[in-house]
Amino acid sequence: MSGAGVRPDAAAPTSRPSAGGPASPPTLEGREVALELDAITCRFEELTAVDSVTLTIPAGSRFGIIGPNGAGKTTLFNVLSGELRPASGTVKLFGRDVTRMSAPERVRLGMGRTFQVVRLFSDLTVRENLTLAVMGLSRSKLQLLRPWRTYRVHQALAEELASSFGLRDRLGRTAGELSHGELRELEVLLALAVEPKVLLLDEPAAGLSPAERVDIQALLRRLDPGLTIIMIEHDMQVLRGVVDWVAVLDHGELVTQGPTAEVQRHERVRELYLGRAAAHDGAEHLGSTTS
Amino acid sequence: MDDLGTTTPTTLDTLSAEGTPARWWVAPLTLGERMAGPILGAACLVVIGIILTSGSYLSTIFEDILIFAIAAMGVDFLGGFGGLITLGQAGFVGVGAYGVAIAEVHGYGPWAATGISLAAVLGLAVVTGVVAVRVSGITFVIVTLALGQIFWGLGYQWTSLTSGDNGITLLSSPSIGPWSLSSTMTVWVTTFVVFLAILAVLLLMVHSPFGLSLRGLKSNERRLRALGYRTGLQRYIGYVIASFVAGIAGVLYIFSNHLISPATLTFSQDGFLVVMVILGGLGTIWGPCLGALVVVMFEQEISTYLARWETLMGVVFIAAVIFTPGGIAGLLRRGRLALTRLATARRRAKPAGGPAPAVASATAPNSSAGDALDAARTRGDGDAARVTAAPRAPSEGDR
Repeated sequence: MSGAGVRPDAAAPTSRPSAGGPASPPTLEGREVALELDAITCRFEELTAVDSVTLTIPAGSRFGIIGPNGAGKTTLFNVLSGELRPASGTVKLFGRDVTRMSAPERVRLGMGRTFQVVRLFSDLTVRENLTLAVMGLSRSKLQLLRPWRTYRVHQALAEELASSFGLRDRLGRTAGELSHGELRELEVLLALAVEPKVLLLDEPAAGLSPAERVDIQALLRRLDPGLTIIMIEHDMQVLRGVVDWVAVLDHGELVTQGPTAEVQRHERVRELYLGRAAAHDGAEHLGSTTS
Repeated sequence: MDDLGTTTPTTLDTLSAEGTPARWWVAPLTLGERMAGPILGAACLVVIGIILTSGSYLSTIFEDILIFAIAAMGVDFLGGFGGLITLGQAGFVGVGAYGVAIAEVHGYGPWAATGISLAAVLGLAVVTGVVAVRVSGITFVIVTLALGQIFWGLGYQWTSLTSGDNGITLLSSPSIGPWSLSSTMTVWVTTFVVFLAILAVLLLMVHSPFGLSLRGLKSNERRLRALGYRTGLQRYIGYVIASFVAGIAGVLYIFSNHLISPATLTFSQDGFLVVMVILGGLGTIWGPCLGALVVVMFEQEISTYLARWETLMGVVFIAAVIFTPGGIAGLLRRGRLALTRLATARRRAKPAGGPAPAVASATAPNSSAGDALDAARTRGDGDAARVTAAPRAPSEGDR
């Protein structure tokens, strides 16, 4: 399973151009484009939540999306995953236009996601959660007359996933009994169980203790280098540890994008996170949790 | 993915440890206690058999209980596992019964009429399902209620087909050689066999991958979609199955009562089916059978002594919802857990000079109590987890 593979080392940042402005994409260097967003606009009545955002994300990227609350990050994720249809623009997944495709269809094409607020099957056991996930792409999910426990391959996959991230001894517990950190890990495992090529992580470290943040960061760094990860995260420390390229949204617009270190020094970004006065005071420590 | 592949010994071990729901509570019991369940079950079957074959009034009541239990199990399949409470299942009971009666009136033999009826039920479930499963939650309840009322309205007002308020009488019953449904005893036995078959099939279905996905649908539909499930399809299949089961109950109803009228399709009948499910135990399949027993006894027995039996049933229903949210099934489960705790405590007390129960529990997480805890948690049984909680052995997952 690609998602469960241990990542030996975080992918070294490629020699990409510095953030020259909102429209500057990372250099592809012959790499396949995993996700291509062309002028995506999403409106809720009068509110424009995402305003003509264009991004190109190469396969195998570690791509971060940041911005203040209400910037449109999660709305953009919902458009990417197929839960929302954009008012205009197109989304291409590995060159295929998926703009009109439903969320389950996109999962079949290789897109997995987690949610900002943990979304699990809380009254089901960890084993049942993982079994449901590994059966997501299998035709046997419509099987009516054979107990799900007898699908040994699915059971083995579920156990392998649980073991790979230390949840093996929790297989018999209901998800509702897990700690918040374990819930976050389980959510990532569910997303990995559908063998994604593109993984969308919506604030995977939200609500975690410092120790749990280290754990989730380690978990994400161990993932298959071939997996494209797009992550929304407010915690710049976690973000820095996982992604090498960041796009900044504000009021639905793409403010800038570039290598993480450069974006952190970007004046507009510091204004957004620290306020105009602090930014001009030369605040250099856009490092820890910023929201 | 290959579903039929082999697995590692570890997987098999885990499956055997977790895969037998009965083991965790049976383990601490003595042989006599273990045999109590099967003996009680066999005794119940014998009593039911005697009642069914006695030809008494009680046997008629019992037949009605089984028929409505079938329909209620269908409601539970969709509502208790998929989270989709339907208020239109009495309509499908009516379609099943009317289907047989109308086909016979139009010259078809009883077997053909049964086939036509079941096909009509399936066809209507397939068609109405397209509309019903487009919505969920309270909207689904209202849509199914509306569909049920449409069926009732057709039964009441399409007099040229249904004879309106008078209903239609069954002309003949199917038979195979000497086995004829015109004999009351044959009808009772057939009803019982069909009931057992549907109970078994539905229990199998709720433990299947589809059943698991139904539980996922109830728990978190958005997450299920994000795992590649077309949840509309899950809802649709569940709806068609539940409706078809109700239709089978309807076919049995006409062979049992020999008359079908719009009274069987009224909103109150829909309500009674939901009451059977809630009272018996939502999400258990077998619980609604006990709910059907209570409701039918109220309707047919207590009503002879008490004019306001519906008021009393309402009070019982409210009390049950407040004091035993898991219904009768939940009550029985609690009793079973109490029995298990008692047996466990007794077994711990027996060995002379052995460690104190608390110490034994703390130092032997893999003991039967530990197994009971893990298995109870597997089944999501919070009560058991609280009562018999033992420390968990540290592992690499601990943080």
